[in-house]
Amino acid sequence: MSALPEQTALSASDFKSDYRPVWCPGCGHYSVLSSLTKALAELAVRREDIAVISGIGCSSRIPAYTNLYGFHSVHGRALAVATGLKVARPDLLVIVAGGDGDGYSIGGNHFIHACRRNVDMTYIVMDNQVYGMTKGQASPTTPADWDKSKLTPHGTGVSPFHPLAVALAAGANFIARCFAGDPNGTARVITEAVRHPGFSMVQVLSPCVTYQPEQREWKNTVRKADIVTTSEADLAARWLMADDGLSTGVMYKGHRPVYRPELEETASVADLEKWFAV
Amino acid sequence: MVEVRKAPGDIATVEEFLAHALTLENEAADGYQEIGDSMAVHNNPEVAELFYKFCKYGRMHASEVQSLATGLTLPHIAPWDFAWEDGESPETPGADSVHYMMTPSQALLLALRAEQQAHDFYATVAKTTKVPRIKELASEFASEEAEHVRLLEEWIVRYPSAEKNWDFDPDPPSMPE
Repeated sequence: MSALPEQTALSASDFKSDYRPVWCPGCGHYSVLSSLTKALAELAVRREDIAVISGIGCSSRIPAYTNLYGFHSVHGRALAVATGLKVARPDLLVIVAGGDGDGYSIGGNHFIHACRRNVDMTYIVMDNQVYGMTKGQASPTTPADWDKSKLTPHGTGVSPFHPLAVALAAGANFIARCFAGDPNGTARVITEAVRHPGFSMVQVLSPCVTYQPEQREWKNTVRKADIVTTSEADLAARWLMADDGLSTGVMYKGHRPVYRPELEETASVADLEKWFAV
Repeated sequence: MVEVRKAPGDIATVEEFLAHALTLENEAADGYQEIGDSMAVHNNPEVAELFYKFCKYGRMHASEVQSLATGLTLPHIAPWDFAWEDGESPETPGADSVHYMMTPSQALLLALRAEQQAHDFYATVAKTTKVPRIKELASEFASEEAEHVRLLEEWIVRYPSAEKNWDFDPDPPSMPE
């Protein structure tokens, strides 16, 4: 994160809008919203210097629930929109949020290239291993034997996508996993992710209590990872490939150069407006 | 990743203790508000009303703590640096056990658990602190929370327990054919 004007004495609730979320009661996304707003309060950045960009899906509703600039964009294209915004306005703190279907399937290619480009922004994926908004289909991170959807009555039979390993291989500069059941721990990781230069990938295990009610058990099975954060990609890779996907912590903090194109004004706003005149 | 968390007995000053109490009450109220809103949005007005009531009590208690803090400068504590035993403010209602069809008795049980946890936190501080004024305040707050627990227990018996199929929904969230 580049130096931004500091804002003092805003609380987490100052970053929430007056809209009542329509997420199901018990949904993990409430907790992620709380973690995000707590992190932003800790970062002490002015609200007008922050933008939250999302795609489509339950989790992608999050910009509406924050009292910040936001863009509820196109399915799978949140990272493309956010990259354009950050490159054009490097002074902004850009947070990208979405779900596993939006980010890893519809937006899978954008995800890989956002990691590779290493633009300075933080991507929070609220991963519940299901398409919730369209009523419960298997997503890229759904376990192969999940047979609760009528579309996949015998399970998907397909190995789940491994988002953190892919992010590491593609070049993300910060890689972490959190759990919605630990909102303060998640707030801490989001704060750290924003402060770390480059593309930060934060996967949050966020239970979908409606279509994956068995995820209520995560509170008993998710645990802190027994690791020390590394800047060695090979160590992180080895650890990630042996992990069962239920450990939380910051796995990797790299030092790759951040993509910051030199921007020079080539046309005035008045000239640009002329090009778009009807 | 090993995180060393501060224990409740390590709270060193009255200001730090009041900062904990204020956050505890505010986060409880925020949590009740949020669950109440989600119940209202999902057409469970009776339970929404209960959560709004709990929220109102939480705000009232927060303002009492705020009054005690008048003239003091409370320290800023990052969310993850509080001396909560499991990392989460103890009176925050457990949103993970919430269901859109939950009954009033289940809502009261959820609040009871939260109040019990708040009591346990204050009781632990009172028992383990070495600062006399903190001990005095924590004992007082623990007694108040114990009183809330007692009131909720009385309240619960007035509501019937949830029936066996309380979560049966004749019009469930649609599943694709």
